[in-house]
Amino acid sequence: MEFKLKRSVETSKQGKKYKIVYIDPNESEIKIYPHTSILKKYGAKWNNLKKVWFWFYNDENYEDIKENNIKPALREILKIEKKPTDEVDEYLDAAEELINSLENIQSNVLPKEDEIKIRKSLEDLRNEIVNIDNDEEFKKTMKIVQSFRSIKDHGYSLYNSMLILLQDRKATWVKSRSVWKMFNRVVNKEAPIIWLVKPKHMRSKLSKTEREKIKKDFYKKHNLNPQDTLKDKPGLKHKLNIELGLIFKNSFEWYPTYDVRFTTQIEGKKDYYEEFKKKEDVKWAEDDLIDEKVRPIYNALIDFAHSKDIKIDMSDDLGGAKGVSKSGSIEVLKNEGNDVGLTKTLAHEIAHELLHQTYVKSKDPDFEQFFIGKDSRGVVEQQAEIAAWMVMASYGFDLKTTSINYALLWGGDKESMLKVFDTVTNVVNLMIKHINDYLKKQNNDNNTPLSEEENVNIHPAKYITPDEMAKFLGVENQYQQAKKDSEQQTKLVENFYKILNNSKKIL
Amino acid sequence: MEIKETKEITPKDLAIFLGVEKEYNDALIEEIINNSLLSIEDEKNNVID
Repeated sequence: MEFKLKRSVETSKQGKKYKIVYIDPNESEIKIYPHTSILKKYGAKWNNLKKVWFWFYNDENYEDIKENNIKPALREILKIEKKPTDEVDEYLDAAEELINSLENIQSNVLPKEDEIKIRKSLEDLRNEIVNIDNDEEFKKTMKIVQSFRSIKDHGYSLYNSMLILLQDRKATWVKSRSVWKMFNRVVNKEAPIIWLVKPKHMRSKLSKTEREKIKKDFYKKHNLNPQDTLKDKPGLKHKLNIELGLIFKNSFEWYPTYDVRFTTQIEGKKDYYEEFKKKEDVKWAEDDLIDEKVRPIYNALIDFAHSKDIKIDMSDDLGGAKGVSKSGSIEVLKNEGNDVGLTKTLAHEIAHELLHQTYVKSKDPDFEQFFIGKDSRGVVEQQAEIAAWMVMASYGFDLKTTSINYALLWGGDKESMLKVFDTVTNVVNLMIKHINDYLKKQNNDNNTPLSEEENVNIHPAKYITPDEMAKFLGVENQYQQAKKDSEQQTKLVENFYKILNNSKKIL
Repeated sequence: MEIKETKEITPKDLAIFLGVEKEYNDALIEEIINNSLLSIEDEKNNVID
């Protein structure tokens, strides 16, 4: 338990009895000694004999003490103790490391005054991170760094993302002069320089045969095909270059880059910036995308439904719907098992069966825990949709939906939020566990190797615009409304990628 | 097979996912406080009259 509160009756030296309520440090998970100033602020006293922080009370003021002293004190302590720290630590580490490594970065090209300026802004940034509690603006900045890093798909390291934004907040696409030339653009006269760091390249001392062997082993270790390029995998490319002796670990040099705003397209040549701008739009997988990669997920979900005695029927027409949950049976549109959208539909209907229908729990009381029950139609749709979406996203299918309404998800009622979140994530994890087990079984079972259909390479998802997606889903109006609330939309997408990136790190 | 196993998600992941981490955190804090207040114990051998 975070805080164990106890009541007791104490006797003063003068023999007078008084009642106290105190936080028992031995049974509380949260250590309160770093928070004595908060306790004092809310009228708590220190009992030197019992070695506890306590509040006096009597029968008349007990409820008042709980409401006006204990509650706000605990709330303030919890706000400090429960604040998310991982992200902060990541930025702090990166800033710290960068500041420390500045000493060793080759700086023959970087003017001294620029180096001083960058160092100063990095140190400011570090100080901001340390004082994060007081700085909402900083959190906003970090979100920009994070979105810059993940959404725009540049493959910039965290270091360089920070350096770009510290030097030019408006930058979107940053490259060196020679790389701009490859993109058919010239850097304008007097374009401001953004200094970035890159690993220092060396001449490899290895023979060609040795290099080829290292490369072959590296590809094998990372499950890559020989023809794969590491262009879009900067992290892996960096690692391979270290192994090949082309760069040294922690050895960097400065190089000048320029934002696209200060470059000009060369006339008559292909305009890559136009394509980049399109790419900046959020990536949406086509909902009717046929992708063999989804087949094992689809089969695992069918297997899951069958294991719970839920019948699956295929139908040619469901009156405009893609699937229906009927408590004990599910109908989905007839498909070949390789349709990404219909796989999500299957996950959506299974989520309904667990969250909102009574069949599964009536057969197995263990499944009572996954049952939320039916509220309004809007609410149950939201819950099933987000569950299906998360299952698909967990396996790399970016089937974002524009029909998520955050408040509706938990009925707009804050108190039910915890229960809904707990239950929905439990349902997601239940499906994930079954799919993982299914994949493992398929991989390990030598007697039943994967069918040719299941053992195929991933086809890259196509890009369509969010508007097209909304139109396809028939939620154009909702989408336009959601678009208006663009800040929330951006936040959702940022978080989406953040979670996906974190998952990838764990894998 | 290119699809890999995935990690378990937590309710907090879901909250971060939806950009409502702050609201989720606040709800969680209130629940902890209420649980703490509901389970206040009287110290043994220390009878309150």
